[in-house]
Amino acid sequence: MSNLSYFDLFFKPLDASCDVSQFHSTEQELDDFLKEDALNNQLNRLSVTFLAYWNDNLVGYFTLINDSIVAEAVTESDREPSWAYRKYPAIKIARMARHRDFDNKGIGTLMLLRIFVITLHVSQFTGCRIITVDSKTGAVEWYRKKGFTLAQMRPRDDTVPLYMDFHRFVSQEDLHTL
Amino acid sequence: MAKPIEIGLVLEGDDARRFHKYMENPKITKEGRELIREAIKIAKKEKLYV
Repeated sequence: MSNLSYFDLFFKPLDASCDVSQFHSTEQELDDFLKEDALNNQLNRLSVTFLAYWNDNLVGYFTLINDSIVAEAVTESDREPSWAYRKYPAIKIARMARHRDFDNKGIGTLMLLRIFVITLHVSQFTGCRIITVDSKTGAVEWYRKKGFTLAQMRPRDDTVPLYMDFHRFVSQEDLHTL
Repeated sequence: MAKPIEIGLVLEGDDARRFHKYMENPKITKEGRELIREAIKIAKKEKLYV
């Protein structure tokens, strides 16, 4: 089957009425988060998880939090005058997963599109210049294709951080869509 | 309990320098640019972004 379109999917914030027990991605850790932690995080506003449905099937989810990037260890002597800010506010894609039975439908791309729409909306109310993501190793190239840049040459964890100067690109593109 | 979500990305040394350079002149792929363009159109259509 060919790729779905954005409007084929229905996005819903996670709540206690949602049955996520049958969700299975290709990463156990991502399944565990959704089933064990996401709702509690949601109730405590530690993170917000959105579920993606297609034809009443739970086909994916993503979780967002506020984040920041701090560029440390750049001494004053090697600091360029144009490096005005050392810290930037961000929105982080903390988790994103697609159901393993719904491969090759573009669901990941549509979830990322939804994240961009949400970020555009939120950015009118609070500063969130950058989008960051903690990617599983196997998804790094996927995020790079979508325009993200590797944050660390030697990641210290089993996830790989990437970033995108979302606001800059929106400013450039917005001029064309006026 | 799954691995907790980490908040705050701290970049050091070459990673910090690379980040500053990126912020001066960020690069994006064609696919990323098209996705942002589409997001702007959808957000405006849904009156989520003006």
